[in-house]
Amino acid sequence: MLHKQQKAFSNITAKSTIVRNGFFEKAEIDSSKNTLEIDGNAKISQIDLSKDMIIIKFEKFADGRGFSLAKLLRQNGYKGIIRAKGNLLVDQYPLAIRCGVDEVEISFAHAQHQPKEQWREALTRANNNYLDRLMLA
Amino acid sequence: MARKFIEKIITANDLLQGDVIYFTKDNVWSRNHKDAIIAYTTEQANELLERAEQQQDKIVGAYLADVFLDEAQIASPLHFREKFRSNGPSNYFHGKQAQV
Amino acid sequence: MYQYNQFDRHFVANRVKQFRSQVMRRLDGSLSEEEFRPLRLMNGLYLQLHAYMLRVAIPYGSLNSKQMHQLAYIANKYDKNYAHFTTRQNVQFNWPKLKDVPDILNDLAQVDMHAIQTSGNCIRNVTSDHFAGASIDEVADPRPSAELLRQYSTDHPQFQFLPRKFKIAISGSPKDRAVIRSNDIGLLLKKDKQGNLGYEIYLGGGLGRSPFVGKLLKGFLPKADLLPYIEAIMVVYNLNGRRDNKYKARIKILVHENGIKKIKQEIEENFLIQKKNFKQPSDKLISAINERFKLPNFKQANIDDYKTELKQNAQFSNFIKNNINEHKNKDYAIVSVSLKNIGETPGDATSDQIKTLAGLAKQYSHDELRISHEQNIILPHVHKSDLSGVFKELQKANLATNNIGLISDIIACPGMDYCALATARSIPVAKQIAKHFNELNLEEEIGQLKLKISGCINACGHHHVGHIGILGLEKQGKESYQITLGGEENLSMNIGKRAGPGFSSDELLPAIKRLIKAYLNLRNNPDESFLSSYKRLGKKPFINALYPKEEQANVA
Repeated sequence: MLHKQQKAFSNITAKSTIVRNGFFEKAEIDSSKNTLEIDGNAKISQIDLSKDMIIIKFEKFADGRGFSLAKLLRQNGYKGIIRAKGNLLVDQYPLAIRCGVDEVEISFAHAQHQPKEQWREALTRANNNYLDRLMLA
Repeated sequence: MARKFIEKIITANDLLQGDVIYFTKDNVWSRNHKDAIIAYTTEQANELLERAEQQQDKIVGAYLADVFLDEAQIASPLHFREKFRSNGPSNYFHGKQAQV
Repeated sequence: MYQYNQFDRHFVANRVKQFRSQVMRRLDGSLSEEEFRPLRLMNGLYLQLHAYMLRVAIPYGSLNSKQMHQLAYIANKYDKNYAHFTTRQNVQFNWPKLKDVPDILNDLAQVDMHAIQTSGNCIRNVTSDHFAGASIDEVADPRPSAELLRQYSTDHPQFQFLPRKFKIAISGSPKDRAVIRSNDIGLLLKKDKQGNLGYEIYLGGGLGRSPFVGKLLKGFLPKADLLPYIEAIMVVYNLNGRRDNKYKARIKILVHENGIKKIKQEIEENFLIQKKNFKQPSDKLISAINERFKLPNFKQANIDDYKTELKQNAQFSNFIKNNINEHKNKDYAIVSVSLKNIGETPGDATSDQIKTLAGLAKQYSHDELRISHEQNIILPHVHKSDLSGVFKELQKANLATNNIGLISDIIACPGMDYCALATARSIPVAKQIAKHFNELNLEEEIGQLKLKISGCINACGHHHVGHIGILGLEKQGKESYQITLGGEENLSMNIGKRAGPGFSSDELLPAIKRLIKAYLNLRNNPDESFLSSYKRLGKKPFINALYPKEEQANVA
C-alpha cells in the first residue's frame, strides 16, 4: 500500500503544476508527507483520515464524484490537505474549493491551455454563492 | 461481396451562427448543399473529414452524411434528417428555405 | 411572485459575465468545443438541427408581465418573432446566434430571468403545479418550497457534474398537476395528523428510454428537513449513479437495480450526516421567501354581468366551460390560454401574442402568469367580472381556442423539425390530428383525452403518460409512429402500453380515427372518458380497432 502511494506521489511530480490560492506552483516532492490517493470509487468509510494529504483523482472533468468525496471527507472531520488531481477545468475550480479542496494538480499542457490568470479569476467566484447564503443567512 | 460505398459529404454547424454548413472543395464552408465536395471512397471520406475537423475555430460537430447522386452527379441528402437540415423546419418557412 | 433581491441580481449578472468570457475563450481557441459544450449547456445553450437553441428557465412556471414582455422583446430582437413553451415549464428560442447569446442573457437578467441549469447533468429547473397559489384544491402553495430548492440547487458545488440530468417536481395538491412521479424526485406537500406541513417523497420516476413510475421513498418528511434530505439523496446519487453508460445513468436505474429499500437505507444514513452539518436557512430568509408568494389583494366586484353573458353568449360559455378552473376565491377563476390553436405548432406563441398575454396579466391577473407542462399559459387570478373582457382580448389575439383537455390540446415536443436528437417529426402529426377532429366538430363529443407526441425515445412529449401516446421513430429510412395506450398522469401515474407495430406517417391518422371511432362506440355513456373506457374494457378492443382483421389478413 505504502509503495503504491509513494509511486503515485512521485508520478504526479514529474510533469505537473499545482494551483494553490489561484497561483501556479511547481509540484515539489515532499517525502515527509504521508499521502493517500483515491479515485471516484473510494468508499468514505474505508479512507484513513490520519493522512496529511488525500489526493482525489478526477479522471474526466464530467465525472463529479470527487466533489462529493471532498465534501464528505470534510463532513467526516478530515482536517488535512485535499488535493484534486487530473482533469479539472478552470471553471470547476471554485466548485472544488467550495467542497473543501485546498489545491489542484494539473498537467503542464493543461496549465498552458488554461493559464493562471483564468484560475485566479475563477477563484473570485468561490464566494458569494446561494448555498452559503442559504446556510448562513 | 462488399456493399457498394454510399457517396458522402461533410456537414457541420457554423460556430457563430449555428446554421448548417457543408465542406467544399476549396476547404471553405458553404450554406448550400449543392456546393459540398463529394467523397466517393472511404479513404476520401476520412481524409475530407480530417481536413474539415481542423477548422474547429469555425465549426461545430463535423460529420459524414450519405447522399445520392442524380444523373448529373448532383448530390441530394439521402436521409430525411439531412433533408430537413438542408432545407429548414416543416412548420414554418424558416431556415435555409427562407434564405434562398 | 418571487422577486429577486440584490444577491440574486448580482449572481445572475456574474453568470452573464462569466458566460461572455467563456464564449470569448471558445472563439480564441482556449476552450475546445468539447470543453465549451458543458459550459454552454449549463447556460441553456444547445446546438440543434438548424441553429443554436436557448432554453430559458421559468422557475416553477411562474412569471410576471414584465418578464413576459421581455420574452416578446427577445423573440423579436434576436429570434424569428416567436417563442416555444416547453413541457418542463421553460421557454425556448429556436434561432439565436452564439455571439448574441451573452446579450440575450443580459436582457433576461434585467427582468430577473436566466438560462442557468436548463441543461447539463445538474439539478434542472424545479417544476410545479401550473395552478399553484390559485387552485381551490391545494393543501399549500408549492412555490415557496420550489423557490427554496431553486436557491439550493443553483450553482450547488457538488451537483453540477452528476451522472445525468436531475429533475425535481413539487405539487401542493393531491390532484398533482405537476406529474411528480415522472421526475427523479417528486414532492407532494401534505399535512400530518397534527396539521404540520411536510412532504411525501417519490424517487426514481422518469420517462425516456426506460420509463419508471416514481417509488414512494418517504411517507412524511417534516418541512424543515427538506434541504438536508434532498442533499442526502443527491450525494448518494452523485457517488453511486452509473457513469459507464449514459442510458443507465439516471437515478431511476440506480433505484431499479438496487431496489428502493437499499437506496433508502443509504439515503437515511447520509441524511444523519447532513442533518448534523446542514445549517438551516434562517427564519428571516424563509419568511422573506414566503412573503413573495402571498395571495394578491383580491378585489370585490359584482359578477351579475358575467352570469348574464354566460347565458347569452355561446362562444363565451364554451370557452368558460373548457378553459376555466376553480379558484381559491369563489369570485375568481383560473384561466387557461391554449397555445394549441388548430393547425398551429403546439406551445408556440408569437411576440404579439406574448405581449397580449403580458398585458392581460397586468390588467386582469394581478400581474401573474404561469406556464403549464401542457404547453399552455395560465392567467391564475382573474375576477369573474373580468372574464368577458379577457375573452374578447384573447379572441383578437387568436388565443381563445377553447380546447383545454380535449383531443386537440396535444402535447408535442419539437421533434425533427428542430431537435438534434429526434428520430421523427412531431409537429406535423399534432397539427394533422388536431385539424381532423376539429373539422369534424368531434372534440367536444370525444371529451377529455390526453394525446401526447414525442419525436424520439427521450419522451419530451410525455407520450408514456398520454391516454393515447405517439412515439416517432425511424424505420427503414422513413418516419414511423408507435402508439401507446392507457398512460396516465397524476399520482396514479401509469405508463402506457405499446399497442403493436408502428404506423407510417400516412397510416397514422387513419389509425387514430379508427381508435377514436371504436371508443365512441364502446363507451357506456357520453361521460365515460377514453381512459375510463380503456380501464373498463382493457386494451383488446382498442387494439382490434388499430389493427383490424382485414388489414392483418391483407398484410399476411
